[in-house]
Amino acid sequence: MKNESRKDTTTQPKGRGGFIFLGIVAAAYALALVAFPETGKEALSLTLVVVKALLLPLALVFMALFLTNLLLKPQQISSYIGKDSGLKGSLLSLLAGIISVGPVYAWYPLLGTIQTHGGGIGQISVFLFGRAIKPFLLPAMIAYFGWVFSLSITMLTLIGALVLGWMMNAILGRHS
Amino acid sequence: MNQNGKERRPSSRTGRAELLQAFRKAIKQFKTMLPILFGVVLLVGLLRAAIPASVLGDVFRGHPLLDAVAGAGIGSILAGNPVNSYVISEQLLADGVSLFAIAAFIISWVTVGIAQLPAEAMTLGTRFAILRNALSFIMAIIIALLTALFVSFIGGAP
Repeated sequence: MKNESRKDTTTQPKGRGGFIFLGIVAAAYALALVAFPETGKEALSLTLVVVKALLLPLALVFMALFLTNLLLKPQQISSYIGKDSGLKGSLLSLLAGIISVGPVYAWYPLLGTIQTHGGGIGQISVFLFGRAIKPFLLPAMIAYFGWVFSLSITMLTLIGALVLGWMMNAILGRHS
Repeated sequence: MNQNGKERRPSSRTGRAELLQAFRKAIKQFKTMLPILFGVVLLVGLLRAAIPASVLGDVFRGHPLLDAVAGAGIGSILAGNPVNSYVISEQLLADGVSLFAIAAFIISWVTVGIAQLPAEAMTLGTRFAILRNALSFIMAIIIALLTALFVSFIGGAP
């Protein structure tokens, strides 16, 4: 319990930090718009495209956050994808990473909640690396680069995700 | 459990209270992340505008390891839909860039995020974010080297 409350204060983002970060980025935009108006305008139009693409993933993440709060108890998260959940937990995280959609930053609120509820460091890392595997994009990848390249990179990414999770657990797991 | 040893069913009022509590908690968690998310989205747009795809080919020199490092580096800075990385990679391949660079670029595009690093650090901890991104960068290079070797052994290069 003591450990849990410590984690809450260290891993949950504080409102002020987010606003400081947003302020710095806004200042960079202002600078770009003044010094390089064309680049600044192009950046703004690219941002609008990203915002539109972000709406659906954010809605999904909000639903997932709500359902996690409602249905899953910290002990359950810990047993499914906690640091002691072993290969089964890593494979579950890998599957979740593979089927997750949208930009990675849309998933941070959910991952932060999972971490404070006992989710393992290695398992969260497996999720984040496993996102590089997208079965629905495999036909496009094969069309661009051929099947040998596409299957090799996909299989190696699968193994790489699990190895990365193991390394993260080995390095940081002892200190958490 | 009640006095008779039977499990007590939650009343509808309790169920509604739990729903409301879970909803409020989700909104609170989401609200905390919104400025960070918006900052990352703005930063991604700025980086993509500042680094046009046309200048990427100039970075590669033809050395397998250095090209893989350069590919992973560029993939770490840029972000977006994975399909965009395929389109850029196809153009780089046509310009004669090696598979070592292409594979590292595609992997790090999704797995390493310089623009997302502040958001990841605020949500999951600074040590976690730095170590995970550093290890993912190294892993992208290793996977790229192995992928290019497999392709050269088996054949079927793009």
